Amino acid sequence: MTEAKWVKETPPTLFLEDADTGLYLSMGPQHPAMHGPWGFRVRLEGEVITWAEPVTGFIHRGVEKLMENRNPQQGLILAERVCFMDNINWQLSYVFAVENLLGLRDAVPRRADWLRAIAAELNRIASHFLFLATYGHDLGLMLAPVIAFRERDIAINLLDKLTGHRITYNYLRIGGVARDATPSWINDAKRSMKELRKRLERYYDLYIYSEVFNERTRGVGKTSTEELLEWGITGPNLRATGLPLDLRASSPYLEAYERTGVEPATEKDGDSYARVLVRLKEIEESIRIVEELLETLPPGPVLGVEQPVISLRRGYSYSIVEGSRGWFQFFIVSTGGFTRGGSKPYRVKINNPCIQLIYFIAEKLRGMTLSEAVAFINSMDMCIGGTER
Amino acid sequence: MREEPVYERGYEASGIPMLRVYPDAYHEFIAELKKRGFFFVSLSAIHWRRLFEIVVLLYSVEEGPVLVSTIIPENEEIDSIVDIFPGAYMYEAEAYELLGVRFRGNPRLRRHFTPEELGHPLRKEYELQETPIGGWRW
Amino acid sequence: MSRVEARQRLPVPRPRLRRPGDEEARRETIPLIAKWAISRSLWVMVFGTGCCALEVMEAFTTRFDLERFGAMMAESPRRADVLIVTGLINARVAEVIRRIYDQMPEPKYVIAVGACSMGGGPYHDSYSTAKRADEVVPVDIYVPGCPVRAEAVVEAIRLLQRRIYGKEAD
Repeated sequence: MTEAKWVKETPPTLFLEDADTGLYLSMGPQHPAMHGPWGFRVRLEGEVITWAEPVTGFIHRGVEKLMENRNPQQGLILAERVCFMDNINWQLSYVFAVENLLGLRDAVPRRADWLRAIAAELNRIASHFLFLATYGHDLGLMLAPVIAFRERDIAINLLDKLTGHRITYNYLRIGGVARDATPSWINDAKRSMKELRKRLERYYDLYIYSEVFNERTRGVGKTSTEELLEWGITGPNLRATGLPLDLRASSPYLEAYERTGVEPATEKDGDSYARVLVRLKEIEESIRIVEELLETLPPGPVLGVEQPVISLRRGYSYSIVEGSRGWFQFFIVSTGGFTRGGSKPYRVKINNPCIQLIYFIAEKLRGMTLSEAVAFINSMDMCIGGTER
Repeated sequence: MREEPVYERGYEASGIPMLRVYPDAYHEFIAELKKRGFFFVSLSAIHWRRLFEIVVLLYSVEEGPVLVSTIIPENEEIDSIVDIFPGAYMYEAEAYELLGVRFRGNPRLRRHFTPEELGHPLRKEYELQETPIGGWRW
Repeated sequence: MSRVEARQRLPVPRPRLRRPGDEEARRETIPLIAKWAISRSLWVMVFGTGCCALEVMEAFTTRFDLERFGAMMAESPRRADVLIVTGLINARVAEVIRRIYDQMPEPKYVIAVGACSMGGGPYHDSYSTAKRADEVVPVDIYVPGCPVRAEAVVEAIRLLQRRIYGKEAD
């Protein structure tokens, strides 16, 4: 086995101070507080961080190159595994890119549109509960994983009954969704949403009204709107600074969002406390959206196009979807052409704000103490699978 | 700045306007768009054989998204927009690592995801192969 | 017999990779009560590198409670018995996993979870992933699935317990 190269890498002279004092700490790939295999090499002077550099590359699978070897139907599988905590929104982004390229956006039936929105919102609820679980655990609230996973279970069980699996659903198809929702599932979902809303009260007690939580997160990692816009970071992190930018509200990509109307959840401060509060508000908003969509579910078929879809047309296609961590984007470049096995795209680029977030966090870590650093890093809710693909 | 930096206008498949600019006017064009209130979302690089195309997505709250694209030959460098938008750093580093695009003015282009031996995997000359079971290269 | 001669007679234990025959050898040296105790108090090191990590985490929490079988998540490899390799193995992460495996004290077991550790899974033709977890650490139990279901992880831990203890019991 060759020696790990990343350990030997020395920091660049551009960012180092003159005096070479301080302790180099590796908040490296295996760490109880980092979720996923990524980390920082951090230089400490006392308790204060003076320099941080990201250490990445542990989950790079080369999905973009792999997609060039898959026809659109096969690409669905890879598209949802980019970030494994918010699968439906990634698959939605991919499906939109392909449907726009083929001109199939109007062929999607209305029931499928509603079901896509319901699945996306359920997944957003599950993802935010996972954030609450891991964030609470990092701050020392050992009760957090136990109860937040129970609430996440409600949303995941619904999706399990609908699609057949708990994490990677593979529910969307080009031209609709894979399965219909039965009346018994719809009743189950309505009951579950009522239950979830009742249980959400406890989270306000645990997180918002708790003194310890306030002291550990207020004022930690203050970000401003201009800073985030320069870096290009969208999603709940941006809304926590005051800008109500939500693609579901400003340019809704599903008709179901237009019908129910999405209210972007905002907070003013831009610190870790605000980020947690924004996500709690988003859970409430998603519960409301799911309830309304379940009431108004239109009848009809769920697939508008004959499966499998294996051809592509020539052109560029860029799709943006509001996911739980920001804007999930798929950029598909295709030269048309049909080979044995279907058309394969010429180039697929997968973009999301988690790519910039890792260096943004490294910049902001300077000047923080180590315990603040943990509270800050995990409040940005980064998904390393999305950064490295 | 050139008189007319944009030489081609079009739309991509979902309706976002796409503008092609000359490579020497690329940096100033993006600085101009920043003054008009656009913010940076992402940067992508495409390898056409012997050419690179860089596509930048900018978004403005009033006017919506816009795609800015520029085409350069393989061996040349393109201006980096890290001084305008610091968020572009990771995208440019990734384009350098996986494709070999060199950016002039980027303070540090280093490899993040793959080791040095792999070269530039996303180029068209690099073919994917199923590694035989039991014979992983490294 | 002098002390020097006695020491010269005992074989020096040398750490080596697990080979067929190791389990039988170990069975003779560890008494049955110790094996029962080990199997009922497994400390699991979850090194989550892939999508399966989420399901493994769920197997430890509220619904598929693995703590009732004695398994607990250990934060550090130095005090873990079982390493769960969740799928995806990269070039860089292979060195990390090998190091973590080497840091664990004996007796240690490895569970490889997911389709990525058996033939590559959805990334079988990638330039960046290994096709088998076996190339990096010796694996005891494979759990198929993409990603696995939490019930399968519970079943895998139970299977490991039965294997350590050596006979069907509860």
